[in-house]
Amino acid sequence: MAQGKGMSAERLALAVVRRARRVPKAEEAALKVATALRGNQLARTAVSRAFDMDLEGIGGTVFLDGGTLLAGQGLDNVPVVILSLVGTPDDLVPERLEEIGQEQLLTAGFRPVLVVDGDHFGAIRRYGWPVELVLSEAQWDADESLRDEAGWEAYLVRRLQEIRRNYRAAALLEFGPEHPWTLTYLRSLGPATP
Amino acid sequence: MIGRHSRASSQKWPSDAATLKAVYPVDGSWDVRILGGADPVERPLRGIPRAWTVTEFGELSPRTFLHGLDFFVYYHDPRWVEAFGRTILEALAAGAVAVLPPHFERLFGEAAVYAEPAQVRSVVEGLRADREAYVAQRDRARDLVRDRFSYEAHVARVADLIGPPTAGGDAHAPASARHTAVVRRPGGPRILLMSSNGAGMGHLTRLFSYATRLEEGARAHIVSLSQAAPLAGRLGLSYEYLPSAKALGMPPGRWRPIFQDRVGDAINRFDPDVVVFDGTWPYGGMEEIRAAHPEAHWTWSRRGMWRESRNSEQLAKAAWFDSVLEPGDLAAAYDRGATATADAHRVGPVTLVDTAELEPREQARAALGLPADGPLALVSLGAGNINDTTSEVGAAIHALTGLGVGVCVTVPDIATAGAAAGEDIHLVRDYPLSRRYAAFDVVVSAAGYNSFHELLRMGVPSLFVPNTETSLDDQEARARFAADHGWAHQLPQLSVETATPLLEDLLERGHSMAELAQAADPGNGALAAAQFLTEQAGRRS
Repeated sequence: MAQGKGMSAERLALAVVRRARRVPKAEEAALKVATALRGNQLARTAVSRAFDMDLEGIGGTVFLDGGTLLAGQGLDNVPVVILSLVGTPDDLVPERLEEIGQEQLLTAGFRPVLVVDGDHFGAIRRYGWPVELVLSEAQWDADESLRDEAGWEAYLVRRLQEIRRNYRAAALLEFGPEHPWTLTYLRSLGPATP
Repeated sequence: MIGRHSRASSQKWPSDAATLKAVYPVDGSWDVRILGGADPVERPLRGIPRAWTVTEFGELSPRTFLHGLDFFVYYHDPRWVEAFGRTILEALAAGAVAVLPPHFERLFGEAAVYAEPAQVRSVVEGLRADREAYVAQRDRARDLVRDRFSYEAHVARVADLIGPPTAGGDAHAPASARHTAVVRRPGGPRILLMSSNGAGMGHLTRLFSYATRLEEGARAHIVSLSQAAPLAGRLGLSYEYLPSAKALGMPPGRWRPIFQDRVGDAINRFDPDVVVFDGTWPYGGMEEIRAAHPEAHWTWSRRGMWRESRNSEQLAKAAWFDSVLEPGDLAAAYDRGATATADAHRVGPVTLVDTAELEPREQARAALGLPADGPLALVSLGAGNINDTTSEVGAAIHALTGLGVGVCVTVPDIATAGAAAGEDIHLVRDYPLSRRYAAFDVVVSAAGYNSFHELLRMGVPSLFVPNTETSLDDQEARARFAADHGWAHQLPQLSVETATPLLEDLLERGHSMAELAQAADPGNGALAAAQFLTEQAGRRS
């Protein structure tokens, strides 16, 4: 029944389009409307959310905050990348965040979701990025009531996989002490440099 | 709610439209949920019916999905021979009543109900109308699944062939089998306390108040949508953080499965006897989580003083919980909201800190790094520009400075922007700050639940400036009540001119005003709330 309704709406839309095409200057008017809509963030949001576009698989339109460093149109289509800082010593976290911020600014090519295992919310809040907290290995070991028999590594793998799926991220990368390939990947999301 | 879980292969689905429509109505008359995709119906039904909710593999855990179903209705291509039917077994174990084609009877016996496609509607409607029969069928199925298909049954079957296990017991059993919460872990009661994010610290602080007063041996675990969750660590509590839809900039419908999976995962690991949710708006998806974890007792902790005629539809969500706990309000007599007459277990006003924990003035000032001498005021009104006297923060500071009072401004732990600052302004960041309220001669504060009760309970001369922007919390009524009873002053809109005489009055006789409030205080309800939660732990099924 619902499908039947959908088909008749489609037929109706096609009939409207056919008639509209016969109107003089219709194409010119349509172009103006389309251009105005493309430039309007509210309209883009309304349309993309109403039609819930491109929701399968990896990438595509993902409604997720990109942080304070990116602005402009089309952010919903910028790839989401999960960056894990799990195990990073507390005192090194601020410089890692700064590094991620620089890459994001330079490439404008990704939206990070940070995974941390300690209280770095204050530092990350400055950048406005989404953040996920996992139990640290020390917390896991110290508290019998929080763990399961599968062990911390299995828990971390499970959580990271869930996080990747939840945000339909294009990649799940470690941003540890040495991360040349992570940087290579992040830079590949920006425009090619000569 | 009916549903099915299978691969999206054509052999797993009925091949003709009539059968499909008979067993999975497309007219919206039933809530039909599909896990695993429904591509094979596109051809016979000319598309996937809009009345169905179709979830792809990986978007939702089968456990969460199955626990949300009333009926698991599974029909497949008549030419297909189902080798076993593991998804049916999982559905039965999850507590859904299975409705199946008759050929499955040989395998599942009395664990399921059997019907030809044309009879499915009448079978489902019949059980839906007869709760007793439905529950009997569900319980019969669970018992049969346990007897015939559990890990223990499998071990017994193998033991019959090769003898009993020599050592190690179930050490190699799958993790999922071991943390299904059927067997109670040893130890005292376990309480999982979950807070919404809210605008401030109220929900989280209330949960801390309960958690820190649980009986010895009890374990509390905080799961919060607030980035202030790590404060739990300072109180010796374990915690997890789950980003809210708002924090992620994500539509609620997309966030809901994340919420379900994350909370479900925490419950699986912690295995609580009681799950407490503190908030005024239980999230969509919570009902399904509860259905997935029926063994725990679920309590909704919600304060009163809702704005008149607001949010009353949310009260119906009390049905999602086994009990409702309402922390009392000193201003309850002015409560005109929907909760005023609703059923709840009521305790006294809840604060994290008791009066006995209030630090002496000198000690508190030293701990906060404030001058030992001279009058000091605390301004706790949220963000604002200190130089802008048209802002309430700026006006309060200007009025206090004019009276020769030093000014301190709070910096919340979850502040997104820098706090007001200046040469003569002291920034105060401490938690819980209420234990150090003796440091201040007067406080200018909003009238949220926690601030209001902490200030009055601690006997602090207070000027309440109710936040009129809250969606639900009737701060105006709370502030008005305190002013009407001579406990404090209030200003719906603060300016230098209006604030100055009131602050002057508070500096002069504020302590005697606050004493009136202390005399009317029935005492901290946090302990009674903690005892209530411990009692609920005994009701674990």
